[in-house]
Amino acid sequence: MSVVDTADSRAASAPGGGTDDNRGGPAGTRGSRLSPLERTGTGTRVVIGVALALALLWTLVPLVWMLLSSFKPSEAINSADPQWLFDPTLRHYTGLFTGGNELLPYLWHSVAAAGGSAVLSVILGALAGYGLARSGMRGKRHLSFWIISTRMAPIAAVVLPLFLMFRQVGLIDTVPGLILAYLTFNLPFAIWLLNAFFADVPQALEESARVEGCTNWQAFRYVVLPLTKSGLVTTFVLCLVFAWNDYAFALVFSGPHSQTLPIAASQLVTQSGIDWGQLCAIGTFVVVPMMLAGLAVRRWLVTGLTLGAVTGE
Amino acid sequence: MVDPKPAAVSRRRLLTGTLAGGAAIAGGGVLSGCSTRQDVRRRDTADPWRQFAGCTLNFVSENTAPTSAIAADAQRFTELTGIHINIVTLELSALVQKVALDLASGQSQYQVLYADSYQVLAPYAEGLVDLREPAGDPSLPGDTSRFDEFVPLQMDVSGRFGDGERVLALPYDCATMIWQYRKDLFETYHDRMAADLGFDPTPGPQRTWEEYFRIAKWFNDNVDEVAYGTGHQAKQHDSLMCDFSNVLFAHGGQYFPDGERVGRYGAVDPGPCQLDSDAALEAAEFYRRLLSVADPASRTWDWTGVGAAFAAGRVAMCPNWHEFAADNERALPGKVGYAALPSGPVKSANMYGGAGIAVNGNTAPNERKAAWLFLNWATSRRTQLRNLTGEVGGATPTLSSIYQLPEVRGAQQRPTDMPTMLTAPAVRRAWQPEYSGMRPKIPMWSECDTAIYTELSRMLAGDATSAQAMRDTTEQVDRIVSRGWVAAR
Repeated sequence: MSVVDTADSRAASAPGGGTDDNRGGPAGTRGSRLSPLERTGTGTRVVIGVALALALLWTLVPLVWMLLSSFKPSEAINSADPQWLFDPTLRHYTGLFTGGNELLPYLWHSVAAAGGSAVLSVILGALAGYGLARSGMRGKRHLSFWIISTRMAPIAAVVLPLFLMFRQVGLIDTVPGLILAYLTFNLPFAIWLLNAFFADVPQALEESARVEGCTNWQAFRYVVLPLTKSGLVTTFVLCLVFAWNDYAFALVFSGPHSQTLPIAASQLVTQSGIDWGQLCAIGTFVVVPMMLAGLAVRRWLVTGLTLGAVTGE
Repeated sequence: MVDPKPAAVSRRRLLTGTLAGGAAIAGGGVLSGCSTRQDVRRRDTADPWRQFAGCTLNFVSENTAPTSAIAADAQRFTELTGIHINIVTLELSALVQKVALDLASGQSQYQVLYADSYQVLAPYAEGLVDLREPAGDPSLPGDTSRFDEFVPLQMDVSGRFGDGERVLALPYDCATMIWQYRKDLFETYHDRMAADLGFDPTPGPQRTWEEYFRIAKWFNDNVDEVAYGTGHQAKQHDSLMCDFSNVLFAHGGQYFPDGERVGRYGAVDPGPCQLDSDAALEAAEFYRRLLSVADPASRTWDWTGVGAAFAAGRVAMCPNWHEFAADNERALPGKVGYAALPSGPVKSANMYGGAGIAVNGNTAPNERKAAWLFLNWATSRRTQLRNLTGEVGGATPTLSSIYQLPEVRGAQQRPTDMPTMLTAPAVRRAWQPEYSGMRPKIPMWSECDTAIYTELSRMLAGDATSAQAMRDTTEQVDRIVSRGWVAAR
């Protein structure tokens, strides 16, 4: 939506304001302010509602079932018939924090590796994305595409060379090693996403700042970054989720001193069966922090994911 | 006047920045130093167990009963030797990837390896230490006579490869497929079944697979306590190959010529696939027929699935790994019986699926000796007995002598606090050569396995006849084997 469009719509909605288009409508008409959904017929709305409900079920049922199972006694989990009524137990959760394979070190490794990678990705991605957005070099679009295309490479293609390099410099089985490994897929994504956000910021604002005496760095720091807050938050959260959920890189690059939560979950698949109770408990543990992070920043996330197409407010 | 494009970054500046960044990263790499491998320090001490006190060993293992027990007991090893042991448990495919990376990169991040006979021992035999070397070292505890203490079949399948001489691993776990059945139902309906079927239905190797089929069908038609007579691990998965192999071997079928030798000692070039033989075709057709009366969900179950279905009371019997006994006893206390699998025209074959524990061949000399200490301790009589009886227990011993102990013999009857030992008579019989079933121990088995269970799955789905499935599998296996194998070292 352009600035002019916004001004017009505000004028239209202002008391006593409005355009001729509004006069023909019913009393107190809000014709120009109806959302696309409000303008559709009842049938279409029903179809959209049903589709949304199905999508919601598709998304939520597995999560709810996992959450329920994490509180079920083992007998109820392994029962041939689904058990909806059961005596809840915290045994699966307490089991995660007792015994020889307790979860806290895994949790710490996940937080450090995923968090570190997301922070670094946003910092480096912001610098590179801004550079790309403002660069006048030829072939910039090709360079942008090449950066994001590195993310399209299958993990198998990069894992062995990376493993050998990391091994050479002693980064295997270290949290810094994992952070670097996660950067390989987070950084291109961050650069690509933030480049789009910076390109959306009018250059005139930076020019004004420079007229006021700002250096290039100050214009970036005090003018551009605040305007792209939603993009930065979106990028951070997405990078965090990608790294937090990673299994393939963690499997190769981690070891006894750096294993993460997804690796801990995989350890519950044993030769003589799967410990579904603990697996659901650990699954809940993995999912909930990321859901909370998403909810906490949902306003920026919506704005960011639509690249500013809607305000999210 | 404002520069019209003041914020534009020139190509030169961009490239300069890129180069500077690259140099910084490269410099960081150099500064972090090329990791040089250091051997552990050997101490001058009279106690042979404490020569390497202070060092740390990493052990990567599948999440198995003995590993869980050892992890819970690792402090004892540290007290005995002064060596700290880190145990990393992974599911098997992840473990294989880790081991392959470690061996291929010439490193030993993990000095002690869980050596699955088919996915680690066979393909990476050249990357493992021949344990006769540390066992023959007079400065270390243990000697080569230790190798004779293990169940012979397990020592050969889990510990040797190729020539039958080198010892590359010590038997560590010993999963074995046996007949698991609802003893309570067999007792309740014994007389009726015997009258209807015309034979004594009591499970054991004296029964034939054909009789097993008829018993399953009888349960389908006459018993309400269970939904189906038999369940199988017939998912398109390694489990399907295991389940089918029992029937194949019983009918006299083999994967390769001299199948007993290839199964027991292994081979790099096993010869032409034999799945198109008459015996194999007969076995495949029988298996297809057997699955037609089994619980239809069998085609979605691996060993865990069929184990859960059996424990939930859905099926009256199933072939499954003996280690599910503990789950059975928890879910159906006192109601489950165990026996060797039925016989075919040739034998009763019970798939053996045990694994060993090995030392990474990339280890430095002292590191290797420290790892031997751990192997020695982890497979010792005292540790195995504790693994069996301890709080985290349930691991099945691989040392013959443990089965002779009074407390272990006593545990083979109910009531017992060692439910796995209820299977001891069945599994010990299954470890005799005339009752054993061993898949081919070849380096390319994993790929062959995929071809086998994929074609079997097509057969069960009705997309191919049993003969067509066997012929297609034979072609694929021959193609895989003809590519040969270059040992990793």
